[in-house]
Amino acid sequence: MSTSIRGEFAVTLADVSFTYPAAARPAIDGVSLTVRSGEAVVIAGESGSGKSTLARLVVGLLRATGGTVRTGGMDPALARPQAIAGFAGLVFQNPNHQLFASTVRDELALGPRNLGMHATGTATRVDEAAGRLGLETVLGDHPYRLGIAVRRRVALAAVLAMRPRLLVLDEPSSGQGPADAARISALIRDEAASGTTLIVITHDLTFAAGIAERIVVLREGRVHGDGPVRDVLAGERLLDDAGLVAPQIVRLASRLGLSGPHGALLTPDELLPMLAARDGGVTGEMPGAAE
Amino acid sequence: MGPLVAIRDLTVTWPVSDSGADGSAGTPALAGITLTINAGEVVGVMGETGSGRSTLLRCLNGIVPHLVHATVEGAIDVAGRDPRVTPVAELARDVAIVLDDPEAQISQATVAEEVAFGLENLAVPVAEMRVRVHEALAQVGLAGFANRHPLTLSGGEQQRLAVAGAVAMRPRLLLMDEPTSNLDPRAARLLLRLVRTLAADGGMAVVIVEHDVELLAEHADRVIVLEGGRLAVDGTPEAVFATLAHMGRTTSVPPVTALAARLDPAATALPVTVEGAVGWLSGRA
Repeated sequence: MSTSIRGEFAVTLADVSFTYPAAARPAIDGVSLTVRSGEAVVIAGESGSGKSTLARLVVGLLRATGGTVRTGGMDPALARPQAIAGFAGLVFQNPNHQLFASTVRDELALGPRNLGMHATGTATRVDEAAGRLGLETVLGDHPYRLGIAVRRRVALAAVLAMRPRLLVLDEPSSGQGPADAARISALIRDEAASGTTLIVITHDLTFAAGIAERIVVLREGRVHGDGPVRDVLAGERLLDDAGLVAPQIVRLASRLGLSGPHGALLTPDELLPMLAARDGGVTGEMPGAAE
Repeated sequence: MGPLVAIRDLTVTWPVSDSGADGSAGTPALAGITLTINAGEVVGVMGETGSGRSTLLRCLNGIVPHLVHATVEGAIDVAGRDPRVTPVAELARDVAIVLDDPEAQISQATVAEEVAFGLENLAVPVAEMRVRVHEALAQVGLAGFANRHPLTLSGGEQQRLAVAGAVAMRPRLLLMDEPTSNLDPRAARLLLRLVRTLAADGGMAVVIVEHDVELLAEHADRVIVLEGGRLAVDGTPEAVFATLAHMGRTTSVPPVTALAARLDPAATALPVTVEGAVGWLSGRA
């Protein structure tokens, strides 16, 4: 991936803390973290671990009470709203927190228009975003006439219409059925392949395994684990301490004492050959076991 | 004794003037559903958006057709009553519901008052009400929370509070509409384990609309799958997920079931949990 003109890092957090007014303890407590341009990172943790707060700090909806945040080279809480919105887009967990317009079409046009785009450019962006999320037939509808799952797609499309370089998604799979979750997962992989930097907040590690290269685990506002997906998912104890559950296949492989050449086995496709090797093997030792 | 719930050939159609909860005027939200549910059973309901999941729940507590108008054809029997001709308030003695957004269900200033709220509406005497509130909070693991403000509770605690409010009414049927969609994995597992225990101990039946197939695999006695308003599959989690896996619907089954289906493409029942898969694999070796 070529280096972004904005520099190597899309996001840099240095010793960042944030305490909500009147809260007893900080929601984010001394977090240092960098996200490279073009990287796809999952931030995982249980409720109250600080993951949604972190997302809001990155896009400047909250201002750190300690440390420094840099997003696209800017201090997101002090940058001009247009400048930060042109770089980073946040899709909320609850679409009702971000939908304002009276038709889906106007909702999708809002972002590009605020970024200063003219009418034809905006219309192109609207059609493109609607097409990607299968919203062509509801463009004239009021967002609140739509079911919650479709409304979530409208919220995502509205952010995609701004073509952000950094896309921050807060629990994109929550409340979605398996087919919708798979569709969102595919869309996230598309975005990552086209070079968009991704920060995805989730507590669903099976979903995380399908989209990310790296997982950062938060616990009580601190970084509890940070590494390549396979390394983090292999750490059952670390995940359990953070209130998370490793994907079924990871747990099954671990119970069977099987691992792959690159660490944890994530999918049936990865585990099946290891099982075959074990069952067909002479010694019971499987080839390609992890170091 | 017969089943607690007996549904025969249930068809629900929204009025043409209104697109209804599923946004589909004219076409039936539910079509020809036949289903029985026994006391003590935990039944998971799966299906994509618009498959009729919520409509099914709302037929069982009378919200459809009493509050949300629709044409309801076929036969429904819930604890000896037909919800269509039973006042919603009377049905509420036997049927309770817990929804997906814990905060939206809270109306009172303390946890104890929140649990008592439904009992007051049933005109339960004060002395008995105190006992029931105390018992219900203990059952859901919130015994020390009686005087807390409900909004100071975590999402998981709020959902257990909603369950306490429901079980205090001593319902024979508990309906849950995506109760874990705002909970993290630990809170979600705690909630379903709790519901399972309550069903096993008290004989209450539970019908739960849930997206998380691994939760259903671990905690449901039975799973039904709705597709476009029709009952597509009905059986134990092991049988239903095996069927879906053989149909190639790998995203709708627990990953261990998808794996097992590749090893045994003909099995009518397959493991659905990690524990089950370990046993199943060692049995094959």
